[in-house]
Amino acid sequence: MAGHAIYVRNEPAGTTISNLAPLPGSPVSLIATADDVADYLEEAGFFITLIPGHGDSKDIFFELRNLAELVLKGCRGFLKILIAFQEFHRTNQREDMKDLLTAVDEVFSIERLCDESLRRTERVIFEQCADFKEFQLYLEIARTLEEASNTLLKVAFHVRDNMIESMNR
Amino acid sequence: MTNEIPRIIFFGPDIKTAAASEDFGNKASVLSRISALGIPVPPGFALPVNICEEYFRNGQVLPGDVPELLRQGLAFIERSTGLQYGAGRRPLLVSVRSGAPVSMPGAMETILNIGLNRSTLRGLIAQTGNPKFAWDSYRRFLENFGTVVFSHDPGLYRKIERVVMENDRVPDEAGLDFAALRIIAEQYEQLYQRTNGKRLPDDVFSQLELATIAILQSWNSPRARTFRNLNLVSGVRGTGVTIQAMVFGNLGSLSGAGVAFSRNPWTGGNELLVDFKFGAQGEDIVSGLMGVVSHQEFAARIPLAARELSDAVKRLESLYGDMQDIEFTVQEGKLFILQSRSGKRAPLAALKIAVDLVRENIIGKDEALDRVREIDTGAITVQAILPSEPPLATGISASMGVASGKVALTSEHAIEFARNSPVILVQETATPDDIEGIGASGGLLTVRGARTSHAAVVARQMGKVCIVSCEELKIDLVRRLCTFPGRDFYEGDYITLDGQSGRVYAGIVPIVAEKPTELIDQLRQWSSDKGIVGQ
Repeated sequence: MAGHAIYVRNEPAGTTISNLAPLPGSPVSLIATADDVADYLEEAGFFITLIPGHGDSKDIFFELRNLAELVLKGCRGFLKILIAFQEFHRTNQREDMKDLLTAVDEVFSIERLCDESLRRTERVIFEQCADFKEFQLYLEIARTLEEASNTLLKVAFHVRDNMIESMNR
Repeated sequence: MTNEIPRIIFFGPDIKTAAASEDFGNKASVLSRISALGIPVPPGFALPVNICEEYFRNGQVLPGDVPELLRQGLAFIERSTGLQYGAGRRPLLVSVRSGAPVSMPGAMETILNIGLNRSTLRGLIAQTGNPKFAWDSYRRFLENFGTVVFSHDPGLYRKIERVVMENDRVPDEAGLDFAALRIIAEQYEQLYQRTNGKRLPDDVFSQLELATIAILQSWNSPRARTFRNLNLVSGVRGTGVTIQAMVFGNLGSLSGAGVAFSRNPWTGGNELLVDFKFGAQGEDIVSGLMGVVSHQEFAARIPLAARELSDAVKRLESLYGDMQDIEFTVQEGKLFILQSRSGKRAPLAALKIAVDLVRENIIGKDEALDRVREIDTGAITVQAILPSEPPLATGISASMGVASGKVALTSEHAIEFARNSPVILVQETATPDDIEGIGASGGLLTVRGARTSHAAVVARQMGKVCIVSCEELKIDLVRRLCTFPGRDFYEGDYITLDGQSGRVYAGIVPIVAEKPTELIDQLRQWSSDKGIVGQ
């Protein structure tokens, strides 16, 4: 579940994941945080299926779409980070490190844009939404998307720190 | 003489090059001219028509200097874009396009996304973080290269795509995710191994050389020869070859490809007409295979690119003094013009545009008279129908007029039926390969496709009535019938197309015709001022 910390416990039967306690800085923590991004997106996707087919919420949809597109860009930035990290791990080349840091910076910038986009979206929702259920739904979608973007940044920093750490070894 | 024409010209931002159309073809001539004016075009280079002549004169062997010219050109594009052809990191992809000194829409070939192999594919994913885009580009490249360079049957590719779409329950290929696109691409790779034994070259330079040969070869393809015969094109020596950096309409949600007309090519009205498809590459719309969104939807989603397009269209029309047909791509919100040429138009539109351009001080009266010289202005009528029954279905009008005729479901049947009676060619989509069938018919009706597709453009130029994107229509080739909601029509049954409204009617519907007398009188006045009789 998004936001919950998890750790891995090696057991004779294999590896299991449970949500008992975190192991900060470990690859498992990276996987868990990345998994949170997926959870937030899945949750937003579910909320989107609850949007009623009627009503005129053009401005709200416009803002939500912008926010979703920013999060998508953030996801693409994260994929760039992963590929650059993979390359750096293999080649140890300066160019790959540069690619990785550029992609981290991209995810960082996108997270800031998402913050601004969330505020704009909230404003439009407050101004235009008269129905309480819809109001709640649109806010949930917007906030869940923004949480995904926050978590993407966390996981991006995680990979960056891991790369820097590996250079010190 | 040959030595006076450069063997290569370059164009792009900050480059001032002049390329004569008769030496390099219309496309390169226009692109070099407009990029020098600051209109955004992807950087590129062009090889002259001479090379095409030499290629055929030498028994279809590429002139010896062409590989070096291609390397020079690639080096120029690499410098302009900061990308590298064939590199695993930030790979450059290019398009190779034909371009003759006369406009031949859809009659020759274009190959896109050249420079892709498994290594550059990974580079593209690393560069964009967008595996869907990368796999989509790769499967497009495999299909485009296979069908054009190795003459693979396009139906084999369509079949693979259709099966994956059905499995994923996706009605439009834009809805395929990266995993599905990857499956399609991998099956296309296997198709190369199964089909005529020719493998896709992994070496990207070989890809470019083979693509260049295929483009030269397309000058003498049956389709190009038919086009020249039907349109009485003579005295043209061959095609130029234009190679440009790829810009991607399939890159993201603010990307797409479109076609714009600076004026309405059916009525001649002074209105910008745009067909746009999000997530599409250049050939998708003009190929006639895809539906499109309206100008309004395009402008609402990407307002900046829509404004830039509107400005560019005005500049291009004013520069060339004629209605322009423009192909463009928007990549992540940024506009690129890929092609601009004088638009094909219906006779009524030709008349109105000529008169309006004089009234707007864009051309002189002599030029206007010259432009309508080939048209029998006295025979131009605006037709309206008098139906007694409601329409069977409605599509999008792509060429005005009214036509009644027997339903023919293939080009071959259209040619056969046309010996005895008027014909309406009814197809799922139409491509320039159907040019003979369109020529034999009075009208063209398609289930899919855009009004700006090459086939619709050709139909309009030939004065045929054309309705596209009639989505209620279903075609059963096995039973040789087409079905409108609630009614079947077998080949040989009569239908009527109303190009004004885009409506389709059963049987032969009576018509009334009016002449555009105000426009005709204006031209007659100008003719008589000049002392010309009989205009």
